[in-house]
Amino acid sequence: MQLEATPRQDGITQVALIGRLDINGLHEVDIKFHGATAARGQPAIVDLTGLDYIASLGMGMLISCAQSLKRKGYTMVIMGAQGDVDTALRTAGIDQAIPMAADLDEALRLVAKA
Amino acid sequence: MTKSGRWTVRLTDDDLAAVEPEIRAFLSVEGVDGRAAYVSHLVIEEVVRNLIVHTPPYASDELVTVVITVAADAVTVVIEDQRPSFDPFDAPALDTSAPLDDRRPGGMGLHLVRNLTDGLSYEGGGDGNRLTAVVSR
Repeated sequence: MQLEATPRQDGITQVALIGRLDINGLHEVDIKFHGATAARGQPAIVDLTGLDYIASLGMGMLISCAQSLKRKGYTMVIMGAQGDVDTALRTAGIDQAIPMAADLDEALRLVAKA
Repeated sequence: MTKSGRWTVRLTDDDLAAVEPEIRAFLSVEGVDGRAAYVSHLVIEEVVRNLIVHTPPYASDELVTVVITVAADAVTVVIEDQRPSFDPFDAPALDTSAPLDDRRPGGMGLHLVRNLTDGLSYEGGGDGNRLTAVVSR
C-alpha cells in the first residue's frame, strides 16, 4: 500500500492511495494519510484511481480525516474511484458524506465550490 | 468440481492481518477474481473484524474458522465462532444518507456484507455462530 503526494502550488493537498486498503494496507498508511491530509489544514483531493480494495476500515479512515478537515473549515474530495472500489464506497453511502469526483477537473471544481 | 480452503484464526487484528494474504492467494490460485474475489475478501475482513472488536481482551485466544468453497458459479464463505450469539440481521441499518458530521464508526462493515453478497444466512444458538455468505462468480 502506497501513499503518493502530488505537489501543488494552489493550497490544495493532493494525495493518491495505491494498492489494497485492507487491514494490512491500513496499518501501512493510516498515520501517513492523517499527516498528509487532516494535519495539513488545507482542502484535500484523495485520488483513488490506483486503489484496488477498500472496506469499512479504510472508509473509516477517509471519514475521520474528512471530518477533521471540515472542523477546520476545509473540504475533502475523493477522486477516481474505479469498479468495485467505487461500488463499495457508494454502497456505504460515502458519496453522501464526502464529495466524489470522476477526475481531477471535477475534483478541483468541487473543492472550489465548497 | 469444488475446491475448499480452511483457516483458523485467533481473534486479534494481528492474526487477521497474517491470514489475509493467504486467503487472497487461495482465491487467486482457484481462479477467483474481480468482484467475487473482492466481496469474498470483504466478507471475511468485515465479519472477523467485527468479532475482534466485540471480543474482550481476555477472550482473544478464542478461534474463528473460515472455510471458503469455490465452485464454478459461486464462492461460499462460512465463518464459525463460539462467541455469544450475534445475528448480523439484527444489527441496526446504516443510514447511508447521513451527512459527514453524523457519521460514526460502526455499522458500515455489516451493511457492506449484507448489500454486496448474493446470499447471506445466519445460524446461532448454543454452539456459537455460523454465517454463510454466497458470492456469485
